[in-house]
Amino acid sequence: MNLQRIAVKFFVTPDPRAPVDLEPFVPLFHRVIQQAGFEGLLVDVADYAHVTEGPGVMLIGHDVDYAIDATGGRVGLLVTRKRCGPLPLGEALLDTLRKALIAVRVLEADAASGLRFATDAFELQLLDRLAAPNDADGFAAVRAAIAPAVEKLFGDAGCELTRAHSEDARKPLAVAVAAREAIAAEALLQRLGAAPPRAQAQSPWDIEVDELKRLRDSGADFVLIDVREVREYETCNLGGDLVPLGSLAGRLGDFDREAHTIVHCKTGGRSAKAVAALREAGFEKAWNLRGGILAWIERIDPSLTKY
Amino acid sequence: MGRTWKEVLADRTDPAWAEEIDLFEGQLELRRQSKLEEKVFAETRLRRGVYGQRYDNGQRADGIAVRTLAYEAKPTKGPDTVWDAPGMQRIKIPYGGVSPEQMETLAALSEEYSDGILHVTTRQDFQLHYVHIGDTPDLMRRLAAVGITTREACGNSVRNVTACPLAGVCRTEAFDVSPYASALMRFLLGHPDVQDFGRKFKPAFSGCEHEACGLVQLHDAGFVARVENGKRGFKVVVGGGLGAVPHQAKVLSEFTPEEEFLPQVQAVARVFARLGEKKNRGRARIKFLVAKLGIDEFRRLVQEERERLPHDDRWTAFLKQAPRTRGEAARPAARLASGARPEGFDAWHTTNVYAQSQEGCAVATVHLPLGDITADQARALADIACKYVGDNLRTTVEQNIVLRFVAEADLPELYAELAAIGLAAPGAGTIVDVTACPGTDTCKLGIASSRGLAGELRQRLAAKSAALPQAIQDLKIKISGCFNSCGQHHVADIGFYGNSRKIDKRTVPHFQVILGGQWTENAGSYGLAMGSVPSKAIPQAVEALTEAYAQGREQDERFQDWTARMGKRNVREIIQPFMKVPPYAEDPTFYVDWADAREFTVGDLGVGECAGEVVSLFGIEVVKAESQAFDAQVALEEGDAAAAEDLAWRAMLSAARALVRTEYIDVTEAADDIVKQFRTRFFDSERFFDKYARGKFGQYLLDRHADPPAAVDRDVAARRVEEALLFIEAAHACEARISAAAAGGGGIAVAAGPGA
Repeated sequence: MNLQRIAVKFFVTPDPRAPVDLEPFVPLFHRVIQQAGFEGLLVDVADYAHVTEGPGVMLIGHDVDYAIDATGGRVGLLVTRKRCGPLPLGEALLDTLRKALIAVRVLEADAASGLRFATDAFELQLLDRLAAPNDADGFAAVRAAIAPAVEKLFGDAGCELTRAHSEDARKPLAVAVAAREAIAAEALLQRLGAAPPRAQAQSPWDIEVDELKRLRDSGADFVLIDVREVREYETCNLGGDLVPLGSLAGRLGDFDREAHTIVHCKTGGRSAKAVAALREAGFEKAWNLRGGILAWIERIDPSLTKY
Repeated sequence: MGRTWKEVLADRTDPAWAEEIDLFEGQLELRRQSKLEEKVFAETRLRRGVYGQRYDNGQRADGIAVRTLAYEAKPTKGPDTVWDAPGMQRIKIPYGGVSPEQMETLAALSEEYSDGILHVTTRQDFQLHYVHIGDTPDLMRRLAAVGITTREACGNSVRNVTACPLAGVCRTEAFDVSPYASALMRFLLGHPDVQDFGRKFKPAFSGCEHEACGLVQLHDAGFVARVENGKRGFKVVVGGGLGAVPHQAKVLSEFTPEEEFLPQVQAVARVFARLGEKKNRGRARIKFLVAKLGIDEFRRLVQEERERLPHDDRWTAFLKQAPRTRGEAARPAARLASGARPEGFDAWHTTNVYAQSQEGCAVATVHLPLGDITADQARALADIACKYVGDNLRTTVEQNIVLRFVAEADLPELYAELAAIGLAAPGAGTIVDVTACPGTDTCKLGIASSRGLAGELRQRLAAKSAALPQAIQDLKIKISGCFNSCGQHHVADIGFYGNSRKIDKRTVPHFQVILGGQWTENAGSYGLAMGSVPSKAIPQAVEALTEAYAQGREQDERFQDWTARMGKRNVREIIQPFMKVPPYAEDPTFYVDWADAREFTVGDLGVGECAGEVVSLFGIEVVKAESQAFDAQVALEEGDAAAAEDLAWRAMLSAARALVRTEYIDVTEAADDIVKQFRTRFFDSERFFDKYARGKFGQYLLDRHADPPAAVDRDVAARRVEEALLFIEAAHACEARISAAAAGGGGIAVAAGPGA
């Protein structure tokens, strides 16, 4: 059974019917886009806070949408996988659950959100009426297609699958899935094969090592500054100008304030400080290499000496 | 399983419509394989309502830098338009008439292909946003199965035929225009005579002259119902339009009998197709042709063309089929009984209910915030409509939905049911009911956040609306994200359009304030620009303006008359205190738009070709242009057309000179010299060109220089003033592009790929 579009909703706990202030989610979602904090190609933020029991604030993606959604009067994180392609429904569901749980992790870690989500139950919406009509047969077919996948996910105790929204056949078919035993979000994520939480942003001006690689390969014009100590530089380096953090203030005049300037250290901590100082001094195009040279060694060039 | 919508809906779809959609699907596939030219495909999809959306060039400023969105490499779906980027689907609703069944389908489509929201536009259409192009053929099939076509919803074609939402139930109309609007739509849809326009063509119908109704004065073609000697017909006007330079329509005919109106429109279409501008988009609307030829010559050409037309039975066939009744109630009409009413009912009843010409029946307006309705609400509204009014639903140009033929006795119950789904907000048609185009939320052309500002104003005004004097409550606010005026800011009491200003090396979102437009008399006159106020100071400016009006108005004086009596200079003084932008260090919130968190930029609209030395001299010199433009408006207001025209022309020259001076300091004050330098340095090099408007604004200067008007009347002067304001805007934008380019293109291009 293949569907174009499915959605998973994790409800807010303890009370999904309590009103939620949506305003913080506009900047929060913009931040998520800047830091590529959710899975998928993230495009823009749509603010529907003015409608009653609607999609609230949405992070629109190319392949996945994320919304703090209040449809039906219950607030939750709604994650819509828009272009499932030829993936069988069970697999598409697990992939959507992983994306949703990663988003839950980010939202719960962000103080601005203030929300907690119950992750041992969710609602699956089948947003493709042709493939999955909202009737008993449609439900039976979906149940058969997803049961093996979710049973396995929730372990020995398994889960309950019931049909939701059966009262109105015009609504999309929906299935309420509830684990029989409580299970932590992180445990589910591990079973879904998600990587451990990624390092938080180190500065508002982070760029990834892949981006540095791309810029180098494309012959882009930029300055690379290494703010580590001489001994570290001798162990391994990326060919940047060596300016130990302590001496940076005295050497600002050596660099062009108008140029793109990428700064790195060992893991990204010192360079984040350096970038803040550079920006303060008028270097409006200073960037911090997230994860520093160690991230570079791990992801781009393992031949360098790790220390 | 494995069935397709095409198979499932085959026997429920008009075969001609089905074939068109199949053809479109074929063209889509050809383009995907690069076998169809991108420009050809772009116009093809536009003519089916498949529109581009913001960031579909694959560039987006995320608040730190302009990033390239890492879409898969595929053929484009138009110039600079990435295949996979989300787009907008416009859905034409002729005269706003929508049935409960259609509402249900729209709701389903919004869930399956969009973001669960249906958006009502200022031309009675629905729009779905964030739609993938691959989904559009099925989306169209499902619409076609319920009798809706998206054909000619965009592109250089006849757009949605709009009409007063009260047609058929209005107390002042001559007759119900709905069947005529429907006939015009069916007659012109796909008609060979309307396929070769240089630009879009928007028709509108009105049942009477003096209300706002169909806003016919601002349409390419407008039809006002009239009865003469017991015979039905229309006063027909042509050449109106908002856009960058607004025109009031001119009277083509005081009375065209009903059997003559279709052939007359056909003749108009032929004249427009033959003589209208084709190359320069900025001059291609019919309003420019009417202005160029003069209405008398245009009328003569239309009459000549009319005589040559081969006879067509469809001209009159609809008259036999068209129902002469004015709709009917689903439940027996009955007066509203006295007695207990639900809480909030009275306020809602005051603003949202209109007593129909039919005894005991009323029109209830469902006030949609920013024109948005959710899928669940749309389904529930369909149920409510079935219960109380049957098929009698219409969308409105104020982005609401009306339920017609509600038995008055049912109103309290209807109110309670609407309240249960969050659709019983009072204040329809009042100051709270702010109209806004999509703006920077989704539109490629948007400069400032019209919806963000509208949301903010709504919230603030709703909080205190009960305490506002009636005179303020009755005002209309309309907001456009740019000068293209999709939000119809020209016909509001208080209108705004988005622009931007360079301050402190940063770009700050602003809105130009337009005051005193007229909504009634079918949008009988347009408002005047008062100056730009930073976006974040607009709510205070609105408060100051409305308070000054409430306190200073003479008995029953309308806002428009008050602004006219006060004079532009005095009114401007009221908003003057809000025009200043604090330095970034003092208040960075001014540098972020409403409902956004990113520092404002127009950099991701695409950087033009402007490059070169930047001298801050521009900022100083352009002030002169702005004050001349201001004086021109004052002269216009005082009735001195010649002085206004001359001042506006000189304002353009000053702005051009300011730009030229940034790289050629020795330019003289002589018009010939300024124009020559401007032409070679900025126009011929296309550095002055806007990405979308291209050379449109620069052309204003060149045209006025090459061809000074022989005689100046109010129309000519008013147009020149508009042109001057736009030219100054364009000079600001060009200068901003130059400084951005000099500063390195506005940020490092960083790919935003699939994360984690």
